[in-house]
Amino acid sequence: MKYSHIQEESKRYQREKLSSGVPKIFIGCATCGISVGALEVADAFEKELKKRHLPGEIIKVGCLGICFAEPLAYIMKDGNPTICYKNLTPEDASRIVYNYFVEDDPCLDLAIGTLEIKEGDIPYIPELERFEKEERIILRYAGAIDPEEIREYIAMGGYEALDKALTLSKESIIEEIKRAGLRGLGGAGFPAGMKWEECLKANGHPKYIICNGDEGDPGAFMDRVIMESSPHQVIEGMVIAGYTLGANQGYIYIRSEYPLAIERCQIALAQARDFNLLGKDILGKGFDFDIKVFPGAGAFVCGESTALMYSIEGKRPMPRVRPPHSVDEGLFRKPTLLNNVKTFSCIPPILLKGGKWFSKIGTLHSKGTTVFALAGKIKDSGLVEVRMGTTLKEVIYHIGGGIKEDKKLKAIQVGGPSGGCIPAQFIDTPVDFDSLKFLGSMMGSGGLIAVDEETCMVDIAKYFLTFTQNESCGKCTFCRIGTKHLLVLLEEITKGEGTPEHLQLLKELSEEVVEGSLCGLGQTAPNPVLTTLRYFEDEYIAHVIEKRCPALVCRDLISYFIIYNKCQRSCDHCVLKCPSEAIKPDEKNIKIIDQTKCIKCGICLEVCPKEYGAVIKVSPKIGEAHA
Amino acid sequence: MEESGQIEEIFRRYSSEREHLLPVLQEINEKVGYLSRESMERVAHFFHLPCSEIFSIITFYKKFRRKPLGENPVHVCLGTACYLLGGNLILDAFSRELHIETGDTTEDRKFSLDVAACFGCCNVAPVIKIHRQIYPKMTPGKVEEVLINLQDEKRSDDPD
Repeated sequence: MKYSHIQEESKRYQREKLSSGVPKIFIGCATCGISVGALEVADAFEKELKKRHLPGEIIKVGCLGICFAEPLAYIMKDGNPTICYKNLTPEDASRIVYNYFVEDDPCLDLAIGTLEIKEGDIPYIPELERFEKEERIILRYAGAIDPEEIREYIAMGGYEALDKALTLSKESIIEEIKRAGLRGLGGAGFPAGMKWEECLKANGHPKYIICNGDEGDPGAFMDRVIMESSPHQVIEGMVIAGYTLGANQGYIYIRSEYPLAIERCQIALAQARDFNLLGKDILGKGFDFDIKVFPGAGAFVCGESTALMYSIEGKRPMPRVRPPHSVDEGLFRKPTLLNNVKTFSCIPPILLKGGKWFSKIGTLHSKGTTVFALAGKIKDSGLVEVRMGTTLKEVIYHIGGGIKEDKKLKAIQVGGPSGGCIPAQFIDTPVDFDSLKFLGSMMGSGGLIAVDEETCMVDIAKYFLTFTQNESCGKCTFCRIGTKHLLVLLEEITKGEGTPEHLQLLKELSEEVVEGSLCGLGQTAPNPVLTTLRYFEDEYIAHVIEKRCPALVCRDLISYFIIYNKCQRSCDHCVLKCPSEAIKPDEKNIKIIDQTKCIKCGICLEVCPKEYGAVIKVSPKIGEAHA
Repeated sequence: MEESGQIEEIFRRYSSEREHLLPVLQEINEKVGYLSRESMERVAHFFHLPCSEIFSIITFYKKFRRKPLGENPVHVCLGTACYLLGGNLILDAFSRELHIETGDTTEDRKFSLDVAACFGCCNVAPVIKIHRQIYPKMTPGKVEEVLINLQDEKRSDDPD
């Protein structure tokens, strides 16, 4: 089948679908939407339409990136602009159907803005400032297309780059990627063109293509959204890689915690095979290539390329010494190209628009864009794609809307357990591979977590160390035992058992773990400790000397306390909910916490009505004598 | 289906090349709910590998369970966003209410408790997951309610 036929048919399909005169309701149905009730909202729309015998079509799309507005829907109705609605409930859905479809009142109180399409078929909402700051290349179709319908992707120009690539020489494709200056977006930033070239030159057959979708960093969800919202762009990038390097088999390694991403990639692969974009004799050009989805089983270290390959082989996934590099000896000891989900996503636009176009975006040494998952204490959490070189300030304040409850930003954690905490004073730092490294952090996979005054920096270091210590594969002594001892030191500090020597030991041991580890896990595991020590030493000192946790987080250093004159005598919430029966009323029916019984579960603070606000946390903890 | 029957059915769909080891283990873990010593021995036999090798792989990955899963498997997310918003307090609350530690199953096999590292829904953190449902914006105070609702659901499904 010729590509032009496929595209023509897809465009016809898309035209007919959109111009049928029937209103279309698009609902964001990635995991982020589904987890807050998108499917229930879709059901409510459907039921209400049926009940009122109204025409209307429901289309489940991916994630627009504005996860804070989920469940989200946008409605196309003839004669009106497309209106985007946020935080919908099933009741809202029924109301919209009646008011908008019957009475022609679009319920603007539920709207977040209008959805418009800008050059390159990219959707945006002009009412939101974030869309002005964003540059969408990787997320270009996220939320705009139905991920389970290949024709929508093709109608937008999908697989055109593959069709073009099949007419180009291998060298010229690599040349284009080099010209683009694309660097691997999995975190390390190795130049992609160079990697492809090395793999092309490598001797050995067969060759393999692997897409790394083992997004293990807690707090990062960019790759999940891409695979759930627009899986074909990843597949297209991989097929192009297969053609360029002469490979016939590819794997998408997806972490098991992402069942929907696995399901959608499998559907996408089956559809691509039906359209002759995958499988035997692709587009009649005599090239065979197929892709398997390989679900992971929950091991962070599998994000490391050599471990990932052992995992596919069915061996215990422990990273190995390099060289030989994977491009020479990878999966089944054959030349293998491994790139991240986002890196493959960049390939089709680079081939279509040219490397020169791509290289104009970004900074001198970091080209293109980067996708961040904004989470933590940020107002408008979600996904954002910005040009390399955009400052953290723009990301946090103009795109993320600032900190929840307008609290003060304390630090930004970038790059998950391999990254570091950048204090608020460096907020004007541009995000690119090199500036973040300079501050002791790294891009990592792109999780960006804003932290406010209520986060303890010692606790956050302890949290990441707990994670890496758990996930260390155990091969290198310094990683296996070093991270354990770092963790013990941090635990002692958060329990109030720390001494000034602890801080010195933390520093020394951290440096040794970096030096003595083979793979990225161990080499970067101490980053959270080193950066918090560097920028927040005063907090460590408060824990060690004053036995106090300034952020009121470390459980052994705080107490819960009920303020005598704020407690309402008629209210019994805390008494009834306390699981350890630590709260008793006194003779005036004012509640008092028995500190010896309190297990610090936080329920009293949660259930004490906001208007009373009688329960507080204090540090250092109240001595037994006060109880 | 009997456990052994389920496993045999899985074996029929795979050849014994080592690259099928992980998919086979995944399927057994999914369908049977856990990997018993007997399952491991069967797998070792099927792939012509020593049992210790299978054990070393199973224990490497978090997803593989060596104890049966509860009817309602509770997974508490301790990803960064969830942790910072009090995920560990939620884990403690489940552990307290169910009287089990992380990784265990209640005696009546109704509930099991596990930790997960991020479901990718950080925007509604802290979250837990039971079956395919994500519970957004959890608090320690909501834990009891979640458990009661699950027990009620079971009862209303029951025809008796």
